[in-house]
Amino acid sequence: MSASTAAEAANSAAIDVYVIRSGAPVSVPGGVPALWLDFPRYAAEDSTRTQAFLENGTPAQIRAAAQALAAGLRFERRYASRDHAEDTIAFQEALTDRELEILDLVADGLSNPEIARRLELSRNTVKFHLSSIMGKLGANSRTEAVTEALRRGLIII
Amino acid sequence: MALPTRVFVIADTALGIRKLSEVFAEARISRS
Repeated sequence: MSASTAAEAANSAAIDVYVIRSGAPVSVPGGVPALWLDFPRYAAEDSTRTQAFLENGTPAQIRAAAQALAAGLRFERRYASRDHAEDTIAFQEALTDRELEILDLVADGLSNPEIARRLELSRNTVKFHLSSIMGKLGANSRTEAVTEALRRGLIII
Repeated sequence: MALPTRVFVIADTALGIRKLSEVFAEARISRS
């Protein structure tokens, strides 16, 4: 069965997120977010889909991105770009200032809702930042993220 | 960290399928 046929045959109502690594065009039912790996050139042509792109992601980064999409992360294309870099969520190793701020609060023992209130962000935004943090740090839990951040000297408690 | 419970993996090579299946080993996976 081809990838395209398989995707079309799937019951999209039962799928949280598609994770796609394919050199050929793939048809994915609407309404379900898609995580494209390795920047297939044709993927960005679909402006109707909630999708994210990740190149050379580690397993932790791929999981974090898929989780963020399945959790409801949405981002909109600002315009139909020919430059795929504009449509890319790039996971860099360095944490952003916001991520460090959130990590500090996680280390202080705050929950996601508490962090959201403190920073005046939505819970989904906090969740997304946290997923990104864990991906960058290769962590599978909040505790592991804090431990790794401490080990790297990113935060002080 | 909790994984998406239902992941549909699409890959055009057996290797790609296997690698992604390992990445989402704890999730319920459908494979193309």
